[in-house]
Amino acid sequence: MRALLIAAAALAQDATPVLPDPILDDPAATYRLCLDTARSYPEQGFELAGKWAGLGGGEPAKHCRAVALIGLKEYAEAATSLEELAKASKRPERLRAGMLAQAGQAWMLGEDLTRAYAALTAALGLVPKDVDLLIDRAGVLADSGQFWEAIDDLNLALEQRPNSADALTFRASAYRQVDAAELAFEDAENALSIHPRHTGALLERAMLNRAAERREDARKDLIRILELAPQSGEADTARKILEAMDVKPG
Amino acid sequence: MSDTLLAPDGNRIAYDRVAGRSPTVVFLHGLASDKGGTKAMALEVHCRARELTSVRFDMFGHGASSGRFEDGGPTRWTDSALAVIDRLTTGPVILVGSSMGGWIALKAAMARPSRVAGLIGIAAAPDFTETMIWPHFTADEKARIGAGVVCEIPSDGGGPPLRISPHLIEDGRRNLIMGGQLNILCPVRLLQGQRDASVPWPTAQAIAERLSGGDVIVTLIKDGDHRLSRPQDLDLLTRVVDELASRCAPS
Repeated sequence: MRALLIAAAALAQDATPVLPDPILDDPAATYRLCLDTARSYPEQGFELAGKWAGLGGGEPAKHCRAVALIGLKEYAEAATSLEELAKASKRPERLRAGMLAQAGQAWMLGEDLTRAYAALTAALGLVPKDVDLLIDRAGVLADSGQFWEAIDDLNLALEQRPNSADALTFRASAYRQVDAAELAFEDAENALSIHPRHTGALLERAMLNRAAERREDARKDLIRILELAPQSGEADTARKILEAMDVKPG
Repeated sequence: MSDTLLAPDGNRIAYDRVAGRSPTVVFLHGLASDKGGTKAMALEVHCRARELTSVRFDMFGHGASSGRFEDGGPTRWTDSALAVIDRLTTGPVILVGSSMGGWIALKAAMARPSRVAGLIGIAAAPDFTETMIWPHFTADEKARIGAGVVCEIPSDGGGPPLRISPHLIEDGRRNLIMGGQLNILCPVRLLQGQRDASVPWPTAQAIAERLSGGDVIVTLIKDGDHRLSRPQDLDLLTRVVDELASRCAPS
């Protein structure tokens, strides 16, 4: 049985003024603390957000709780909370759109692509042509197999932010899926000229090189991914491709 | 006058060792700090008074040790710590790690389970590059890191800005430990201020939950900041050192 003692240290022997609860006396610092905790350690973040909400934390506490729920893989509850928050909030449109964007990401993680698309479209209704929202929605469209529609969103994003390595990488992926290999390769190369360590772009270029029988070029990029981010999803995919490449036909 | 240890990788590690009885108390400093900080010095004074052996040292790229700060990361810092444990100590060791040093102490304890008899984390910050720095980078800063450019962020104590290199972020990713269990069975004491603007205080609870061992105590200091260098904080630290040292069999 783990002996875990959470002790508030009372060090001073003399009577000292009682300090306010660290949770209450600086809402901005508490919000940051709560979000940092929720993102990194969702169980602790959920507990903290609950306590803060009980002490009158209001909308920021509810937002923090929803972020913790994403980390706890309670995607539907998180997304629903974020949509409700965005609907009820009186904050500026950009902030409400941010909540809807997070709802979209939560729906996407929960593999409800229809609701993810709806949330991101609602967010784009608040801040039309927002580059990050367009990139997110393109991801949902690509996951739904709507690659040309994804390319439309990415074209719009890249018109505004031509140097977005993320948008170029996503568009490379979408072009690859519609068999436009040359366009895909060009986007992957452009992404890597901007962001030479972009593991997503390295993976795209590796897949394109592999398909074109440029095995050594593909291998070089895949090994680079393993060096750069060995614990990433891209590295998992890179390992699988390397294994498949190393299997010699019987 | 500090001495120098030649590490297996050819780097020079500056250290101060005061001989005494067992166990040896080893202090691991935080990011951009060094072996001359308030806590390091207070610990040495305390160990002298208790006649305990103590070692404080500068990690790779810090203080008087060799290497560029921008080339450092948890891999090399752990190498520094292991070289110190292997070459400068015998018998049981108590690791005292502050902030980034807490990450390295956890890694060193997992690498040397038969040597590390106790671990004290002071605002221990495992995985901080990924959980405390990366999420706060702007899209522009992330893009610059991706392009191989060093980014500067404000330091906690109002000193010169911290230079965060792409290598630090990438090496951090290779050394993440909070995704699973921490296989450490020795007693662990985690001291954490609740007014710490750098390390969210629930981090200490998260570490405790991941530790395999049962002898784990988290102490939250309600008015404590990140440095935990006030007299009352140092008093608490030395009391915890005494507690862990008393549990090591004399050799």
